[in-house]
Amino acid sequence: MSVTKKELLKMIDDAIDLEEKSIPVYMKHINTALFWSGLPEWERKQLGIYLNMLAKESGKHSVKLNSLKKKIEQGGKDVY
Amino acid sequence: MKKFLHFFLLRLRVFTLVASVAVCVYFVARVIIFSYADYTPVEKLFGILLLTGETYMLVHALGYMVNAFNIRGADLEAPRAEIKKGEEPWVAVVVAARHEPKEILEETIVTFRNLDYPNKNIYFLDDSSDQRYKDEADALAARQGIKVFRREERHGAKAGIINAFMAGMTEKYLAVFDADQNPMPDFLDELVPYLEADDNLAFVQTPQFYSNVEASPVAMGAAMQQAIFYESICEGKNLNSAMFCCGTNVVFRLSALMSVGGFDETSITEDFATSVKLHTKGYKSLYHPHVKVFGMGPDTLPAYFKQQARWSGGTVSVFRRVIWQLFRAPRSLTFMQWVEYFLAGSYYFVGWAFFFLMICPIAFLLFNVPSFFLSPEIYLATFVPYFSLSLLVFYTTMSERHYTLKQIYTGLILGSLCFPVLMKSTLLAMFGKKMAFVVTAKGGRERLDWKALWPYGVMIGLNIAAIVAGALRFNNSPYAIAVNMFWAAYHIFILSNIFRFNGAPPAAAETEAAA
Repeated sequence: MSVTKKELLKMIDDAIDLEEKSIPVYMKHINTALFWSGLPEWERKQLGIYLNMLAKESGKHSVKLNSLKKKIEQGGKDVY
Repeated sequence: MKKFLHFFLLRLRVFTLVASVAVCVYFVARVIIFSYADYTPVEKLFGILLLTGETYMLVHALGYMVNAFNIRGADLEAPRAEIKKGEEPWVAVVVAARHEPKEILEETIVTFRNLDYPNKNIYFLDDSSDQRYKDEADALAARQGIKVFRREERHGAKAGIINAFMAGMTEKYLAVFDADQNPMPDFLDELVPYLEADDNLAFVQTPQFYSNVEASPVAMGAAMQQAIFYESICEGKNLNSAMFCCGTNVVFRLSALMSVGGFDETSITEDFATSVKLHTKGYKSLYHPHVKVFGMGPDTLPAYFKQQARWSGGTVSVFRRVIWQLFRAPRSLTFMQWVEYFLAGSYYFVGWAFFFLMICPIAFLLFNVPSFFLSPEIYLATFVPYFSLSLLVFYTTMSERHYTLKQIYTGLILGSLCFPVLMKSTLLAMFGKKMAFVVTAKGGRERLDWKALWPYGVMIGLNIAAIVAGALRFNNSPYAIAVNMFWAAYHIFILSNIFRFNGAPPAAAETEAAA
């Protein structure tokens, strides 16, 4: 199965968009789960820090996808 | 305190049993004394009001304790089918919306797309009549790569559009969500195996869990009320095969829904009405007691009151039908299913119960009209054990699930403050008056006008006057006056919370703080 360059770029755009929109949504909800968890405050704070780190790490997916997109745009291939 | 709670928790079933007995003893004592007391007609009227209010509280307290007793040690896990990879049945994942903000809808659709379950079709059931919202829906669907469904003729609000959609459905199951409810990626993977394991299972319901708890005291209170319902109460209903659908975060078997003619379009709480139909037809329901969906609750008092007015009006209108069904076909449900539907259907009369309990001390202190004829000894011997044990069972079952006293108290106070709204909506519903379908405002930035707070002002004023009157004639009957003054003060305390809940709404508060 092959895709054209245009289709592939659209798929990457879509993936970037989904990633960027998903992270804040899940962050909000997981923070709420932490709020109700019954864990001591310092533990919740600690987990909150890890959660923020995870969110930042996940944000790197978009960076990777953007660089891939750039590579494809500059590349000579029309079909992948 | 922690040691005491731990001790209580270990013996919760015993204490629940003792508390249930205490409830019954108090009720019997009240009924006997009421029957033999020598009342004047006016006193009798207030006596009946007080007894009605108390009976309501006692019945619901008993219902809670029976559930708390039953779920302890019970096996809450239902059978699940093993589904081979690639053979997952198809599911239609739908969000029905009318004039909802596109930002909220987009978040929901993003979470639909993130569902791990492979065989799913996502549909946006757009019921908007405003062209601007229609255009936004189309743009959103195009951007997210999902399908939009619209109907030709508008009838039956949310139930109507889902029914119209179902007529053309090819999928086996239907997952329904409100516009602001975001499922976690494993939602369908968790729920579909239950439906595959039992052909008689009509739907699986999961809890509603509000994510905006820190937005305002109203949001916290509303979230706590949801928590109280979705913890012990729903787990108890599940054990009795009486869990009803809550309208969102649920997966239905299409064939079951079709067999009862789809969602009931005559009720504004179509979920509750349809559940009754499914249960009376012999279908089962299941409650999956794990949070798989996060959403937003009302964060302002007007939004909360609108939500409660809709739920209460709809539930009571269905309750009338349930009572009729009980007389018409008593064997269509089991005894415990009837009990659970009675408790659920009558829940929103709590506004009347609270009002009756509030006016009786006022009548006594201001106008010397007694409504409670228990001697101090019998009162102490029956009321105190019932009241303290019931509160302790309730608090222990909630604290066991990590809810704090402050959170529980916020939920209970907010629920009490809803009494004028509940009184009006239930009265209308009892007389078969239809209420307009009102969508709960999400992220609303509104507060109630001071004029709208008149019921609270009147009741606070009456309670203050009652306390003053009681103090002036305290020596006439110190014991009775002291008890009634205590209750009047307690009611002032509850009512005064209206100003806290109706305080600066979130956005205004931020602006004021910035200024």
